[in-house]
Amino acid sequence: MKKIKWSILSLAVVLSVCGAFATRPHFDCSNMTQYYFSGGVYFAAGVEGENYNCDQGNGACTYYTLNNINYYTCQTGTYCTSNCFVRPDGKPIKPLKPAATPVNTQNNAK
Amino acid sequence: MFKKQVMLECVSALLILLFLYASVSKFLDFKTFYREMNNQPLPNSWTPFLVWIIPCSEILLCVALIFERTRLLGLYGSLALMGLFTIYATLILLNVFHRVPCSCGGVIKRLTWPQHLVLNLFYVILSVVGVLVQRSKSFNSISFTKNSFV
Repeated sequence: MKKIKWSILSLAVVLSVCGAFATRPHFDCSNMTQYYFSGGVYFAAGVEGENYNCDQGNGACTYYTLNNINYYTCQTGTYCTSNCFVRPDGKPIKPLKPAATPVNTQNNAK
Repeated sequence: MFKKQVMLECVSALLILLFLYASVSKFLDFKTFYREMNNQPLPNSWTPFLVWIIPCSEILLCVALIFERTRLLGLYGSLALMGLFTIYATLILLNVFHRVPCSCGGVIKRLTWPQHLVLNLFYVILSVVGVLVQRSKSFNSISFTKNSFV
């Protein structure tokens, strides 16, 4: 019985640790400056949880860039600031301060 | 007795698989985990504590589930943790927090909140089964020991 026990448990341990390493993101765009796209302009998004949040959704929430020309989707979801904390009565729960400096006016998101 | 023991090992293995995978994924991509915790509809002041408490408790539960002596404790802990996650997913889906954050953590982040809820419920049921089997096994062994003295 001991052999069966240790075989099952060690298989679970090995699989979970190897699985975690195998699914680790190789390129983490979230460590780069995040931008959001609004009205044909890219703005620096700031810090997630402080300046903005990504709610559930299928679109692009934030973008990153390697050359300030091409912007690529980083986080998926819906970008929101104060509008994601609005109660049904219309009172904001926790308004966030969006970073407001335009960075690039080109619409070349990938 | 043999069937029960194998079943218990399988339940423990499935719980270890989930908890160890989730905790190691969090530590491997700690910055992203921290950021995603900030994205949850909980006070941001809780984040520095939660980012350590959640993965460390998952690892402790794995250790408890491995050893026979601490297994029942581990199963109760798993039930409590999965119960909490299930309540949280339910509150999100009921729109209690007035917004739906992204679901995060390794490959599990690709699941939607309803899928999360189903996964959590499965693990809650698995923990309950584990507790019941372990308790009945402990009870049997105690009564066996008592009878052997008579």
